[in-house]
Amino acid sequence: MELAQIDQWAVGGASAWHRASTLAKITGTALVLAAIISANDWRALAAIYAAMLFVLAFARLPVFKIALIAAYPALFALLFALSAKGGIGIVVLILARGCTAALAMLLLITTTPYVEIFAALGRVLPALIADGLFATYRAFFILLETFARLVTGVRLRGGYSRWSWKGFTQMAEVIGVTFLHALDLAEHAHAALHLRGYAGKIPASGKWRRVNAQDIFPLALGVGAVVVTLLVR
Amino acid sequence: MSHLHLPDGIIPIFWLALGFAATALMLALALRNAREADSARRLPRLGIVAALMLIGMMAEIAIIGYHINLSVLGGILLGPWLGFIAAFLVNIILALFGHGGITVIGLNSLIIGSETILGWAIFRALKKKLNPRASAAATVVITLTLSTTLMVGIIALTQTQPALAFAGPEAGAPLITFELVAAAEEHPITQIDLARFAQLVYFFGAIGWVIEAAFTALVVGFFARARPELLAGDPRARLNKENHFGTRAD
Repeated sequence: MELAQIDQWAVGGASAWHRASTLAKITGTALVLAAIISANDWRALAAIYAAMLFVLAFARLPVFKIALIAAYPALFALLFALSAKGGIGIVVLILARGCTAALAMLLLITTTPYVEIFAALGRVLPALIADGLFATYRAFFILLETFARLVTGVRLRGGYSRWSWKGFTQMAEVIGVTFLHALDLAEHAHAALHLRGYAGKIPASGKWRRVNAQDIFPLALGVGAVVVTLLVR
Repeated sequence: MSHLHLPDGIIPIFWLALGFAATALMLALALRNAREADSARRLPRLGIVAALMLIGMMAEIAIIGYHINLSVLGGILLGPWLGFIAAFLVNIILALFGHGGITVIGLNSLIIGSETILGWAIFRALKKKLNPRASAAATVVITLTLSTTLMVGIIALTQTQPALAFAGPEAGAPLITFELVAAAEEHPITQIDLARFAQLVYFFGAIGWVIEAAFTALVVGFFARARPELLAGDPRARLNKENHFGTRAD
């Protein structure tokens, strides 16, 4: 799963883009998405895409790997694209739009720790939903780790059978055990939070909205994307 | 698979806004009703189930371009209200990774959320007659058929009125215009061959539904043996002394 890798890129980076405030990066991403949505020429999309690849290189992130992740939604968008009337040009435009939008989101999450993004979202979302984002993200890693350990254990005991009905049923039961184990862990963690004063909302720091000089970069990208879309039609 | 895998900028803004408004309303209802559930259990359980759904949606069956949702399982484990909230959380996180557009979160939450609600309701009805595994399998097939139909219906609805049009190359033309009825010849990007789209999603979807039904049935069968109270099904059940998921009155 790429989540752990994406987390590492976001937290481990020290480029000017990483240091820009979350508020600026979210604003810049929103502008880029607005530009992508209103673009009706593949050249505008190509220019925005190229600019984001340049930013990824500037931020010292693995450009090819991230572009590959951004291409993943294209597989699912293909069903829709193949049903669109208007010929190959429309198919290409739909897929290009999907990949460019995906890359814009990936640029945000590979340069911004998820804690800050969720803290920003927590300003507009109800407490249970905001806390649910944190809980879900944490649970994701707990589930994967527990699952990996269980599968290793089953393999070591010679019980794992890959491409068979037995393997399929084993996998379902491993998922079931993983779920129960992870649920117990999460409930204990929740009890510990209560002991430490959790009262229904996880307090997040205000770091996400502290502006600084590096904010110029994401904002410039956003404004630039809008200008390119307006000019190239 | 019923998840709208649409990039941003395809569905008209009117329908996107309507999707968000309907989702906000459902979330308000869900939050109000979820308050009655045991507060000590609801956040950990919500997080774990949403994470399970997230893992399912990230694991793709490449040959058929399908990913399992586990939304029906989510509804069975969480109930309708927390299940809808879990669907919303999953859609936000998926959109952050470019898996489906940000602007379609509202519509996607309605579709996946409907799976959790229908999954809970149909499972509760079926388990009175059938064993848990059979109930779960039937629930998945029925629910995903209905939600896929809902998804196709949304695609059909958003292609007719109002439509998002793009400005042509003429100088002075507005960037975005709205029309009540889309004209396919002028704005091909907003028109799809609905029959072809429906054929593709139902064909590939049906294969995926069978796989997901089998998987969900096995997981539910495991829970029925190991922790039957997880399948108790009352969304407002409170913790009591005898078991972890008693009736509301206890």
